[in-house]
This record gives sequence, structure tokens and C-alpha cells, in this order.
Amino acid sequence: MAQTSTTQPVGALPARVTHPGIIDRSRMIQWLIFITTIVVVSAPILPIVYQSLIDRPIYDTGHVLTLRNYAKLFTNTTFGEVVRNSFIFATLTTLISQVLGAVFAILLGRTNLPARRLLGDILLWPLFISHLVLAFGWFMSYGAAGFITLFVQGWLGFQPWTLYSIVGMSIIAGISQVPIALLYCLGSAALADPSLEDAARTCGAGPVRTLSSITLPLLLPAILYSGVLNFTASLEMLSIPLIFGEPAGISFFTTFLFTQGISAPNPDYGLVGTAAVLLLLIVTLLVYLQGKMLRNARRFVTVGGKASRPRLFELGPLKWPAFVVVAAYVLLFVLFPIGVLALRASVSFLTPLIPFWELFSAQHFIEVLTLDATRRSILNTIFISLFGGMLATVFIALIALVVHRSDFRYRKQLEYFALFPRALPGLIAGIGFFYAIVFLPPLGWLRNTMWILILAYTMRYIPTGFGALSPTLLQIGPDLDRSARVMGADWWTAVQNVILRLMKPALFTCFALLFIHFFKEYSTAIFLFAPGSEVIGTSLLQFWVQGEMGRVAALSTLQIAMTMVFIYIVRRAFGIRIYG
Amino acid sequence: MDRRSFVAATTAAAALYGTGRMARAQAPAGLPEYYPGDYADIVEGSKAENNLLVYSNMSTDMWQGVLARYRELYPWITVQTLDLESAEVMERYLAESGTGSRTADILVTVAPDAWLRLIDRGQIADYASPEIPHLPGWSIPSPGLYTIAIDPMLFIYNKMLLPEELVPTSFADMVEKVRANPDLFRGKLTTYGAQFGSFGYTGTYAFVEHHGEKAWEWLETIGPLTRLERSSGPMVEKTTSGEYLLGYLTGSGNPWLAIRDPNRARILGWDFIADGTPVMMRGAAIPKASTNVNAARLWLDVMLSHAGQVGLSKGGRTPYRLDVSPEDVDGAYTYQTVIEAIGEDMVVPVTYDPAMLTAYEGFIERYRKAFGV
Repeated sequence: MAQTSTTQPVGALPARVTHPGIIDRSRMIQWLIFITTIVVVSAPILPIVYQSLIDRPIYDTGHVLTLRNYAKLFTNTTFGEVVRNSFIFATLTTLISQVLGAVFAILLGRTNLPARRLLGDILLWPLFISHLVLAFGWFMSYGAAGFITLFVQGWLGFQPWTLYSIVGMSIIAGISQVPIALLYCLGSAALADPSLEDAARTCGAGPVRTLSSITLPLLLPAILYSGVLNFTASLEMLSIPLIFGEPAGISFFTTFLFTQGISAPNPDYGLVGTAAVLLLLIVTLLVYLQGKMLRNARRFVTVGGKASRPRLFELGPLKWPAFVVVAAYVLLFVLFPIGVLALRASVSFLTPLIPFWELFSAQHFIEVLTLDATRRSILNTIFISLFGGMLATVFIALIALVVHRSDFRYRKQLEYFALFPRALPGLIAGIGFFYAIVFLPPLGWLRNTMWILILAYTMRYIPTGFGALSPTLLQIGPDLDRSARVMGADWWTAVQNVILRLMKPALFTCFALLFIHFFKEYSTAIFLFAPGSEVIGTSLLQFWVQGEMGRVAALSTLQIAMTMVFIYIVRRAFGIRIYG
Repeated sequence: MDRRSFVAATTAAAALYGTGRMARAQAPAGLPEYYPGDYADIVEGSKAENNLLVYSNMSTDMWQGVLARYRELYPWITVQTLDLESAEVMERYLAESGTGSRTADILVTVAPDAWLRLIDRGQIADYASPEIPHLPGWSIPSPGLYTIAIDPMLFIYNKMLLPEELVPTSFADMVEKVRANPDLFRGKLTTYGAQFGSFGYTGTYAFVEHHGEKAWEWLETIGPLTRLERSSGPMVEKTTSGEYLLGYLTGSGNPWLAIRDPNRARILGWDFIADGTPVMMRGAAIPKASTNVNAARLWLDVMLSHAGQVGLSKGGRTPYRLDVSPEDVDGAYTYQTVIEAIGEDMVVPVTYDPAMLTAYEGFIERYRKAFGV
């Protein structure tokens, strides 16, 4: 938030009215939330920093403080390349997603493109699907032996593309991140004052000129801001580097951490800690940059005098060609990867050498649903998303209430802590909680349960939930809780009886959002799951390592189907449109 | 241990098998009759534990045969298996046991180097299995550390896409064929990445030790054309799908399981490596921090028993007990048939050589150069 003054937020009344010196229950609740948030957010970070400063694995005894790990990291020849690859990958990914996102936002939001609502809906799908599943879809469609690749190869006699390169991976990642750019640009386009465009047209500018000199510059802040988001997201992405980078011998931050932390014959904990700290610093810097840009972005807000309906640009003769291009994109890069996953799930195996219809079988779905560990992972994922999502919603709502609707002394600091996890990549959050438990044996009971996952997921998505609740809280007029307070209610009663009730729709949206994020999360769980607390993401990775592509496809298909059902239900039953 | 003793031990153990029978005592029904009388104590003890956690680098499917036998004997024990990467099995155990959280009751993995580290730390509980008289000496490299199966490393290839005249007859032959057809093989070769895990590292290490400098020349020739994988599952899948033409020094469990499906057998071919086939040992031990020791002992003994070895074979593992005949395992490979097929001289046992630990850094550096990763 941009507030820098020390004035209280609107509507905030003193928590204590009658006995100023006494800590009453409202104050206690506020302190409790403050302390819990700090503990939860710092729990994974401190152990990582500590591990980077000691000479042996954190689980060993006799730690000696040292800076040797840092020296080692910076002289490690592989690591230099890891950093370089990561930055090239993130830059290319961001370029691709921003260009496509902006173009689609203009076409869908500002022109008379046919079927733009439907196309817009489908374009957002990748947002709801785990990157891991998307990467599998791409592997099976456009990989070296992908269904579509082989089809094209049959025509041309050679393979025109490869995904086993930084460019190839950036294309997948870029396309997966298009929805973020699209959403921000659509939002910005909707806010822009249409009279500016009208003015341009009045001065004789054609549609192209208006687009390039009015609409596009107005989108620039949205493009830049979502660009930083996407850059961050691609730095911390594990799935695509793991599936396409490793076979090609291209290492990235995340795969480096994954290999060094999990599978290397001689794991170097110091190196993992140090690399994690470094990635953490870089991402923190980027998040700081986001904050700064958002503040500056306000300069671009154009306040019009009169509300008028934005007029859509007439595409004229370009209408149908533009439609064909967008529809082809949707078909090739959104629907095909998902469709091929579903196809692969329904045949015993997929090869161009034997026609696929001879191989139809429900075998993989049956296996996935009957294998104990896999069935458990599905049920666990549902449990974590449902109950974890609810718990997290309650917790985040309390944070938001203290930040926005109380006079709590450290509410600014609380907000800062609550938003910090944006800078914490999932893999690192997982490593951090793992270390935290290793370091604090009293927490050992959490080790093999789902609660550690719920805790880690909640921590990671506090900013997401907070972002969903804040606007509503700022919109609810201060007079409402004031009148409750005047009637003698304390802060907690006013919050419970007035604000929380008014927040109900926002709470549902927050829950739906958290459900979807919890449902598709995998990187946080890699270091934390145990027999009994498997989730879909970890089962998918195991099937992948075992080479069980049929099961990978079947479980992925089930995950997508369940997500779709969930989204359909919340839309129908609660009227919630997640994103836009 | 060298190749000679690895192979010679065969005969010794076979001889022991005849004399190893002991007087039958009060062992529960269904157990081998040579188990000692006080074995019933372990069985009794397990009733209070009724929960067993197994860390291994094997999938649940691969455990089915052993699990079925175990459930039949000890139905009161719940078994959970966790499938991890080869060295991750040990790391996870160390991290958890180091802090007193719940950890594995038994560890099973192919990772000689990681086992050596565990031995160094004194973390292996010494349990003398009643199956010892039936096991070859080489299979127990250190007290308490047993071998449950062997894993020869293979060539696998796509029969439909790799022209017959290019199917390798030996490693040297493969290198020649790749050298002559670099464009055909570019990005179409696969093997384990030694930097990814123990299986790849120790297997490649033993291979290089066997061939010496020549092995490095080979790897430098084919390395840059090779894609590296973490495990044999994706190698088999991608070779079947045609993404790869040929895999070298791959695992054997996954390809042999795959070709049980006749559709896959039409596509996937395999062979031993005629000029030197590394043979890995799949180790198993009860760690000191095991909390269900009795249940773990029962599990270990089941794996080592005749019935358990047959069960392992159902999961694609190669039994090494000498009393397991090819007929017992429906014609699948056993230790003897593998050794016969490779030829004694061409077996490259991947042993628990401490030099693996000290040589690691230098080896990986050279390896990375050879493969350009």
C-alpha cells in the first residue's frame, strides 16, 4: 500500500475505549495474529540463512559458523552458468508473455473480435493449471516424440522445432505466463478513460494510430508490472527446467537446488543454503521493484470527467484474420497440450508406429485411482485445498482486518510481513520448512503430516489472499464499524458482527483462489511430503521419474478435470468469477 | 571385492544351501523351516509395532510381490513405502534421524557411495538374518548391510527406428557406430547423469575403472550427443516413443518390466554390454534410528527369503539367491543366468569401493567436460 503517513485507516477506532491501560481481548487477538504471522513467515527463512553460514548439514552436530559456502558458491563454475541460464530464460519468457498478453488484451478488450468472451475464457485456463501439468502436456504434444511433433515430422521429414533449448523452454514458460500479462492489461484497459481514444479519433487518427499512440502507452504500466511478476515467476519455476532443461544439460536456479538438495550423490547443504539465499535476495529485489512500479503506475491513471462506455475498435476487414490467428493460438497452445494429455491418458501407450485407436484403454485411470499412494495423494490434495484453504482464508482475513480496520500499533509492519512471501519461491519455502523442522525437534510431529503442507502453503499464499481481501475492506465504509462501536461493541465484536459479514463475497473469492493455488501446488511439497501426506504434484513427479507417462497423463487429466469442476461450481453456485 | 570373488562366491553359497537347514522350532506357519526357534520373539515383538516405513528407490508397483508375501505372513503390520532418488533415501534418513523425528525403519537403495557414508557414521544396525547361510558372502559387504537383488546395466534401443546394422554389439562397437553417424544419433542417445544421483555415478565410475582411459575417450565421443536422465523410467519411455534411439548403461528393472507388455516388446530392444556389463547391488539395511525394529527385521528376512526373491522378480528386480531358478520366476533373469549371459570375465561388479567417495569431485569435473554439461 502506498500510505506513508501515520494516520489511522478510515474507520479505525481505538481498540480500548473504557480502560486504556488494560490489554483486552481485542488487543490480545491483534498481538496473536501479529506474532503468528511473523513466526510463520520467518520460519522457513531463518534456517536457510543459518544453513548458508555453517560448515556442515544443519542436522549434524557441532556447527561452526563460516563464510566458506559463499566463497564456494561464487567460485563454482557450474553456478555461474546456472545464473546466466536463469536470467536468459526469465528474460525471454517475460518478453514472450508480455508481447502476447498485451496483443491479446487489446484484441479481446478493445476490438470487435468475434467470440472474444469465449476465447478470453480459454486463454486464462493455463492460470488454473499447475505448471508441471502444462509442461507434461507440452512434452507429450510438442516434445521430441510428441504427438504433434511426429505428425509434422511425417509431413516435412524433419523436426522443425526443439523444446530442449532455452528458447524452446522460454516459449512454453512464456505461453504459460500469458494469462498474468493478459489479466493485468485487460484490467488496465478497462480502467483507461475512453474519451482519450475518442479525442484521438476526433483529431483524425485511424484505429492503428489510436492504438499505438493512446491505448498501448496507457497499457505500458500494466505490461511492465506484470512483466516483473512473470520474470519472478520464471526465475522460480521448477517444472519446465526439470523436464526439458536437465536432459539437455541446461541447469537453472531451481534445478540446481533440486539436484543439490535431493539427489546428488554427495549433497552439499551449505551450497543449497547459499544458493537459496541468493535467489531469495534477487526475488526480494524484484518484488521491491514491483512495489515501486505500482506506486509509479498511479501516475498513469487517467481520470475522466464523465463515465462513458468505451467504444470498441472496428477491426474491419482484419476481423476474421485476427480471429483465425487468436483461435489458432488457443487451439495449438492451450487446447492441444491439454487434449494430448487426455489422449495419452486413455491409451496404453502413444506411438506413431501403432495407430492410437488400437490402444484405447482405461488402464491408466484405473491404476491411478486404485494405487493406494496415488488415491491418497488425490484425497490429501482435496483435503488440503478445502480445509487448508478455509483455515488460510480465516487467518488471512484476520491479518487483513488488523491491517486495514484496527489501530494496532504495528499494523504497517504486519502488512509488510504478510506480503513478504511473494519473494519466497515455492521450492525454497519447502526447503526452509524442512530445515525448520530439522532444526527445532519439538516440531518433529509435524514432519510426516499434512499440517506441515497446510502451514507452508498458507504462508506462501498469504499475499494472494491478502490481495483478494484488501480492496473490499477498503471499500466498506468506516461508519459501519463506528456505529457498532458506538453501541458499545469492542473491536472484536464489531469485526465479527459487521465487517466479516459484509466481507462474505470477498472471503469466498479468497477461498476459491487459495483452493486453486493449493490444488496445483507442487514445488513446496517436494521437500515436505512423506508417506501418508503425498499430494497430486508429488505423485506426478514420482510417476515422471518412473517413466510412467500414462499415469502422469491420467493423473494430470484428473487434476485438470477436478479444477474445472471446482471453478464451474463456484461460478454457478456462488457467482464467483475468479479473476475478472 | 573383485570380480573373481563376486563370481566365485556363487559356488560357495550353493554348497551352503544344502547344509543350511536347521532344526525346526516354533516359527509361525509359512516361514522357512530353517529359521531359529527364537524367531517367534521377533514375530511377537512386531505385533506391538504394527507399522513399517520403508524408504527405497523402488516404486510401489515394484514392491507388490514382496508386499504380498509379507502381508500373508504378518497381516497385522501396515507397510508404507516411499519412493525416493537413490541417494535421497540416505539423506532423508540422516536429516530425520539427526533430529529425532520419525524416519524409515528400513532403507533399500542402490547407492554404494551413500551406503559407505552411512557405514562411516555407524548408522547401520547389526542384525544377523537367519537367511545368511543361504546368501553368497559378497552380498553382505558390511555387517547388517545386505543385498536384495542385482542390477546389470544394459543397452536399450528402439527396434523400429534404429537400423539393425547400427544395433551395438559392444560398447566399443557402439562408439564406432555413433562416430560414423553423428547426425543420426545427436540428441538420440541417453544414459544416467552421473551428477544427478548415486546410481548413475557409481555405475559410470565402475565402468570407467574397468576400461580405464579408453572409457573417457569413449565418453568424450558420445557424451556431447547424449541426453542425460535421472532414472531409467524416462529412458525406457522415451526410447519406446522414439525420442531416443539408444540408451547405454541403463538400469535393467524398467526395460525388463516394460517388455512384459507384448506391444512394447515389439518396439523396445535390449542387450547386455558385451565388453563389460556393470552389475550393481541393491542394498538393504535396518538403520539405528528404526523404531519398528522387529517389523523391519521381518521385512528384511522376507526380501532375502526364497519367496521374497521371487516376489522381487515380479517387480522387475533380479533375484540373486542361488536357489531361485529361472522356472521359479517365470523365465525372468536370475543372478546365475545374468552371469552366464554376460560371461564371467565381462561382469563389472559395482562394489563398495571407498575410492568412490574421494574420487567424486575430480570424476564429476571430468565427466561434465566430456558431456559438455
